[in-house]
Amino acid sequence: MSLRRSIVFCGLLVVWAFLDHQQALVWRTNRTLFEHATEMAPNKARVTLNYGRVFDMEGQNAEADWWYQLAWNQARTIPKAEREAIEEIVLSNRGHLALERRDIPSALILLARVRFTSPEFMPGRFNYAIALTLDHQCGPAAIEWESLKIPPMECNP
Amino acid sequence: MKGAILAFLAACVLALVAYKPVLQTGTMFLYEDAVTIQNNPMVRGMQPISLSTPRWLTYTTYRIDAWRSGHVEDFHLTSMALHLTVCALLFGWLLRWHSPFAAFVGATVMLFNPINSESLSYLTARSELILGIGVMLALWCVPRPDQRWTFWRGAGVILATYIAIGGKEMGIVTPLLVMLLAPVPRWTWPILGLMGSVALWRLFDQHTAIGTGVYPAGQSFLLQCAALAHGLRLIVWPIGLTVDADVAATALTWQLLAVSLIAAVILIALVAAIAVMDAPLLNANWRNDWTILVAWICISVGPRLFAHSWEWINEHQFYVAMIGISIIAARVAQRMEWNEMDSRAYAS
Repeated sequence: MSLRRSIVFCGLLVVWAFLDHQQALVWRTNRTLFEHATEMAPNKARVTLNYGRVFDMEGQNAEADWWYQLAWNQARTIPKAEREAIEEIVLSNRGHLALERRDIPSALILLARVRFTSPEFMPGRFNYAIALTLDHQCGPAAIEWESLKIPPMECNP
Repeated sequence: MKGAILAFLAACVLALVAYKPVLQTGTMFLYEDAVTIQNNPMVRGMQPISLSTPRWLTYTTYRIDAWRSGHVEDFHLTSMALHLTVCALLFGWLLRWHSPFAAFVGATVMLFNPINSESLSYLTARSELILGIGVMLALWCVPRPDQRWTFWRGAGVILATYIAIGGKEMGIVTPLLVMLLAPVPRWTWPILGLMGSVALWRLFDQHTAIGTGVYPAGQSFLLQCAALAHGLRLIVWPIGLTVDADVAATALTWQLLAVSLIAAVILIALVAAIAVMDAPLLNANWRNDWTILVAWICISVGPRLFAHSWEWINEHQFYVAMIGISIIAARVAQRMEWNEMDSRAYAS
């Protein structure tokens, strides 16, 4: 191979190595990862939603809720099928977060808006919210926990 | 030969330096790594790893890492070592067929192309690296033109396919990739078919993915084509790499249509190119390169078009496709070398 072509190829390798390094910097933390993704991806709502999920998994509920709300706002600009899918997940996940902080009215409002069209979003959480409300009002005896298939310990921490 | 080996080793060191920040992620598993590794009962030793489950080898490597120290850096070190292993296997394999420079070109394209950065950095995508090792081991079993298929070579393809399926379900396409270069012995077909069937059965047993997505089948297929076009563009022009985040689910309808149109144009152009290259006036080697390249991409990425209806083909899923592209890069480098030698001989 001629020297000129070899130099061009080595130059290409160095550029690729630099880009690899940039990507490695992106993959350091969830924050760097998703800030980069939100910047680059055309479907910002989907990426923002995933960002919310990551904070959700990390137990940073307030931050997760904020990102879910942002995903909801961004979803307004995208095609119907994708928008509805994102809205389902946002409502379901925000309802779940509201349940975790025992904000029963918010949880009921959010979960009541989930359409439950997909098997992924089973109405279990909605039942759970109702059960918790009843639990507050009528006491544990009023609830058929077994029928909800939710362990009592989880519902009565 | 010695110079090419030294240059390849230097390239490996450069790759390690480039990816050093990934080793400094601290104690945090990123994105879905928490689900795949941290909360996975098979990795935590609470559930046995069945050897008939696709990805059994991937889970085994996670478990070894967890048993070794459990530090996130060690998981990343293993992924890096696996990528270097794939590139070393590719380099060695190319040396069997091509000149040292051509082998260096092919192996370094695989080593550095930024589309592979997700496979290295995203621990969940380690399955692709192990799949790559399986594919490379299968290619090592292919006899050279002056050799013949033996029993051990056929058995090697079966074992390599098992390793590839142990990496990821897509490992079932390994014999097809081998057959692009040389037809495998017929006695291996029933065994390979049975292995593929078991892997598919276990896959559908675990996930009932098909038909449960939010899009109708036609639109889903269109989006997958758009994702494929997006990925191919990233291989050539790696600006705009993002996360395993369904990038092709574009935000606006016009974007979806535009990207799908590009996908259709690329596919038509590739088919046309194959048809043109089939003309007897043209060099048969070029035709073979094109045919192998298109077929390799179709086989290694194509089945993913149908596997999911909510998740789009993303960057780490091009890892095995990159092996084929690297092989073609080596062949092109080899041909350029020959042309230069011919020109010099003609001039003198």
